[in-house]
Amino acid sequence: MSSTLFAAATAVTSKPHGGIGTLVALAVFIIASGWIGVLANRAMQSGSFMKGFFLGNRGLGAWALALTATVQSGGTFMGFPSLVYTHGWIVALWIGSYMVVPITGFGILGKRLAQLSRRLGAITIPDFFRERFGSPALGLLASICILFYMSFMMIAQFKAGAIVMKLSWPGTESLAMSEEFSNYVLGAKQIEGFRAKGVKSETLVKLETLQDKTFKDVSELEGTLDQLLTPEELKSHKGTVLSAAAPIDWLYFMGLGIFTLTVVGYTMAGGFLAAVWTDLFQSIMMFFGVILLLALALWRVGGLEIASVTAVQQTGPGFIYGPGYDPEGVGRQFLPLSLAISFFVLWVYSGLSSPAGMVRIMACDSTQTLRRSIFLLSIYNCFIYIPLIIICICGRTLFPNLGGQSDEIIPLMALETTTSLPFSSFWAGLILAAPFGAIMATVSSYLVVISSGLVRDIYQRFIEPNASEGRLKFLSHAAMIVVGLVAVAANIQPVKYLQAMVVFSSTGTACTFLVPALMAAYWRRASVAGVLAAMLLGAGTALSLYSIGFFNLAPWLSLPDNPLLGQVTSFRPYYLLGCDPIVWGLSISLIAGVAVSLVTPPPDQKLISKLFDAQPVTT
Amino acid sequence: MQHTQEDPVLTSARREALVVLACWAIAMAWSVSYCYINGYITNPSLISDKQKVEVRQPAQAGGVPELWVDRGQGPQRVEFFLGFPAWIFWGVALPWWICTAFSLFFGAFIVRDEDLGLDPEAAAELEAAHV
Repeated sequence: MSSTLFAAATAVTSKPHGGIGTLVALAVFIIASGWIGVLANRAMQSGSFMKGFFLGNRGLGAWALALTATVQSGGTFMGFPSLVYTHGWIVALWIGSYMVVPITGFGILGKRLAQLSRRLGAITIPDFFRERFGSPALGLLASICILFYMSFMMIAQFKAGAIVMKLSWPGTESLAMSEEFSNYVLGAKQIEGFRAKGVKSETLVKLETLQDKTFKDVSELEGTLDQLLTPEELKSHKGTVLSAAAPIDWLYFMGLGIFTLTVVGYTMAGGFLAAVWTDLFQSIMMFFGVILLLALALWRVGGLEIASVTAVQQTGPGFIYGPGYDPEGVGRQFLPLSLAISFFVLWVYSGLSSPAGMVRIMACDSTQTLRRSIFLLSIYNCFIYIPLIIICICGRTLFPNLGGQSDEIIPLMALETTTSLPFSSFWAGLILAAPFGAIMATVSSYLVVISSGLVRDIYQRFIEPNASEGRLKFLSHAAMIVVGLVAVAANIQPVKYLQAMVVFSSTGTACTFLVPALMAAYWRRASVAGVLAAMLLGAGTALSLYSIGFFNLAPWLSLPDNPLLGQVTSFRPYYLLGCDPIVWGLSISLIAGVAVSLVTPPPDQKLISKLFDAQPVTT
Repeated sequence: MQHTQEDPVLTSARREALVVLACWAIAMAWSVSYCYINGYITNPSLISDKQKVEVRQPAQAGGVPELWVDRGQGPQRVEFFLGFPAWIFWGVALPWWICTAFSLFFGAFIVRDEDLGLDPEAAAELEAAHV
């Protein structure tokens, strides 16, 4: 069976480029973010510094809560569109659990978390666990877990921010949101360096044939090396060759510098409120950007059905059926049944138990706000995820050969579909501002959580409980600057596996905090030891399964493994029985939490009564 | 033994959480099972095989061409509904819209408004203001 009789919209032969409008849009975004930081600084002046800076004085309204607590990530415009482009319609099922995220995000823990955090006077998540169970050790463990998992997430986002900044520069040759932009060249000096590193002479002879040749990106160089070297040589030397040929990327460093100064600057000025308000601002930008792009994409290709038919014709049956298209043709199953179930668990419960999301729920001003947030987020999600899938299906029709640069699809669609509009550069810039804003907002909220973990949960709790407000303010600002500098240092050699690190961090925080939070909110019999066990074993399970996958320990441990499951990445977990680590992490955390609680002494009844029984009216 | 009354916020929060968990379980059961039964290729070797795809001229002039795919049981026409592959429409898009409608109903009629109370700092400020 085959046919070539049909082609919908003509595929685009040359990639469109950014114009001055893109840069202007980002400049406006940066100025607006700074302005929001100043406004937030003024708004948090009432009350204590700690409650104002880290919790916005518990004054979040419905718009701020709905559009910032559960939806934000740079991945929405980067990793997710790339997956749709690569694997096709099955990604709709992969992301399908977002249909219930508005009610799970606010309806399972929201009301009790908001109530208990008030009753306990908790400002941060470690504060919450420490006070709920009267255990400083539990608070410390929560702090350490948050710092560990959220650092992974945040460092990865810095790279994304720097690259979006870079691609918006007029005349940038490529738009890929990966580090592989500038030309790769192997000079004589680099090849001589390989000899010093012990590369065998027969390999050197092969590499010398590449001397002074220019490769437009890393995938082109990789492809050449794959053809030139034997599998053994590739295994030993591929990384060394790629890193030696990589160019010094000044635009990337400039992007990293501007991004860091902006996001650390406004977060220092306005703290939690600045993070939330910029988040809200970018969510609204994202909404209008997606709607505009959806209309333009459908109009450009002539309809969704035509786009699907063309895309399947270019790829294969997997593009329109599960478990998803496999571009390598090696039998990879992107979303088999076990992973389809896993992702229905992952997105729902990782959003629900993210420390950045939970702290925003603690900051909401009333239950009316929670109800209205469910309303707003339900409608918002409807207009984001399914439209993004449609846009990327259309994108496959227009740009059939992006290969390893599928991260480009949303910027390319923004630039291509607006070309026929008046002020096209301006419209493209407006759409492209959305991913930049998404990344800035994510980093900003993590900066707040990490610096609160360092200053409130470690310094104030364990080192200097009577520290003055001025001292805490100075340390909070200093912590943000240090975290920013560490993230910059970690990104001088850009981190790999950006999207996989985001999933790892989400899985880790869910396995660490979901069961303890549910126990804290709803179970009188939950004991300190039980919650400690749930936290430790949940985090440990996720970490162990990721370690087995990443370091390829399955053969060494005599475990059956199928490397052809899920997304293509080296930062892959071990899929025990085909399921994502979140399924095992949550299950073990639940069993450990319940079992250990039941075999250890019950908690202090006075504290339990204060948190679970009706209290006398005090006002 | 002194009888104590459960905190009403806890009672309503638990009830609402159970409703939400039921909704999540139903959505997952429907979406995953419907999509698996109607939208999966069980033989991985067919996933990337372009030879299993055929595009035929539409029955009516000016219509959208027909897409035929062999999933292992001979060529079958891929059904579309409102532009979506039919299994995605019934398995993901429609449940999404139903869940959205239910979420609106849940927020409007099931979630009960409660007083969340004051934190110790705010309570102290209030008390000082009264004094």
